[in-house]
Amino acid sequence: MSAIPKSGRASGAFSTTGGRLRLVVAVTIGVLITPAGKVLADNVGATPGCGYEYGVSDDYVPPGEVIPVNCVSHANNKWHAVRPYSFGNQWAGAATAFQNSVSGDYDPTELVAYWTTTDSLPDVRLWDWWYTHGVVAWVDCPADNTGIGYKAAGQATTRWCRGQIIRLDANFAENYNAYGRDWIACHELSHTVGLRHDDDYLVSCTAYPVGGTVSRDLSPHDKATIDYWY
Amino acid sequence: MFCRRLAIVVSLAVVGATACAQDSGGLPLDSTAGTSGDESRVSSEMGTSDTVAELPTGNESVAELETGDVDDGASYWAGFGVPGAIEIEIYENLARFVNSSTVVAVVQALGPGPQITLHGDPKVPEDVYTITSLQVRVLEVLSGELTSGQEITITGLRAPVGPPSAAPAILFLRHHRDPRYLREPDPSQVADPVDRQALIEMLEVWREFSADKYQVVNSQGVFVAAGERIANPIRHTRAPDSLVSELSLLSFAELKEAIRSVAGHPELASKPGDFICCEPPTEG
Repeated sequence: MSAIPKSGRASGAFSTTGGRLRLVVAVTIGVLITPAGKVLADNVGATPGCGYEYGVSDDYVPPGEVIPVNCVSHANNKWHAVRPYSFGNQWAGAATAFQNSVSGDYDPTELVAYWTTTDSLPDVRLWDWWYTHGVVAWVDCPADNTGIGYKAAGQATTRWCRGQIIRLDANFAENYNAYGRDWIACHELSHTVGLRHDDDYLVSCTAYPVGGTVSRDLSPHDKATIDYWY
Repeated sequence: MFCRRLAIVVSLAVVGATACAQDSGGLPLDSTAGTSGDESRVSSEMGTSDTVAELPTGNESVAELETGDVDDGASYWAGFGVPGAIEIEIYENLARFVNSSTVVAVVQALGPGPQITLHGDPKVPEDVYTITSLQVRVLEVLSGELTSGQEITITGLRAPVGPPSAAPAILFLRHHRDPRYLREPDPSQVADPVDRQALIEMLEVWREFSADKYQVVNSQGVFVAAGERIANPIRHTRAPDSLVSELSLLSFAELKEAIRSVAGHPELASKPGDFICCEPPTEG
């Protein structure tokens, strides 16, 4: 699948007073040097306490570690199949946003990310419904995942999960325009390839909005991290 | 810049500053009545609430209960799946946060409450999810209408594991029937008849389950306390959050006082980025 050019997509221009200082700090400290010498974002790594293991292995979550609603997992390999299941009929425009993000944000990296309606073992499943519990969107590695492993033995943060689920609560559809849908798509998909939240909201979709603004694109560091892992 | 801290909070409460425009907060939404349907797509079960060796009686003072370990408390509350993924609103102003909540209270966890398993999209049979709940005893009401000693139930996506922490927690709560947050879809607007019927059935069960329950407003809405230390165990550490950052610097007593000082004063909440809000009125 060919990539969709994003030359017309710009990060939001609004910022708070402290935004630029925050950005400088984030860029300065928000990187890691790999053994291979590559500079990576530090917002990476699988999270503990994901759905499939929750309640099964109580001592898996280190003391003081937050059990996330968002579950971050790596993908098992570079072929990243994203499959909608009756997706977008409750949240209009969601399918387009996710499809564009797959091809425009992720496929241009070392990942071979693609949209599929037939893959029986997709890496990511997309669902939307009126879930009614107050969360707009989240990712889980559920109990019915189709595979789990670790990219490095003994390192929980390298856990990968196939059959991850991204859920969107259609109750909130009216709160997001096309830009917001693009951000949600890029943000949630990032959690399916091992990216956690970043605070570099001006350049990374993995961040949260500050003052109503957040990038809807992967940052260079996000892309470098993906390239490193895949 | 953000922080005028407690002295200003107290003074604002006394003075009742009016320099800020009123901000109602919240999102008034219509509620829609469902119709009857079978409950084949929904199941529920009761959790146990008798797993605690020593529960508070409700007669203790909060000071007596401030003996729990804040780290244990944070770990316990971190296991409660309050909203924490992409959220619709993150507050930058304490007055707005407090006055957008149905109630703000100091509570102590009692143990798991009832939970319900719901089915999502009827065309995706494996789309099943569980909403858990936690029973807590209200120790002290800081804003809103509840009674000390009252037991309430709070819904979440997951339930904490292990025995409840002794550490008290300040919770920012919204009642599921608070009209400012009653966010329910209108089945009549759903074109697909299969989806529409499934939604009607789900809403009927959801309303019954949630009618007398609360929900933590967002991931900012849990502060665990022990002595002079407080912690917010839910908020993502990498998410910029000036409000929680500033509140976390306060002691438990200071935070309670700050909340009380702005409770009932939504007019104090109009300046995004301000911690407590607002600058004292300037003359001229």
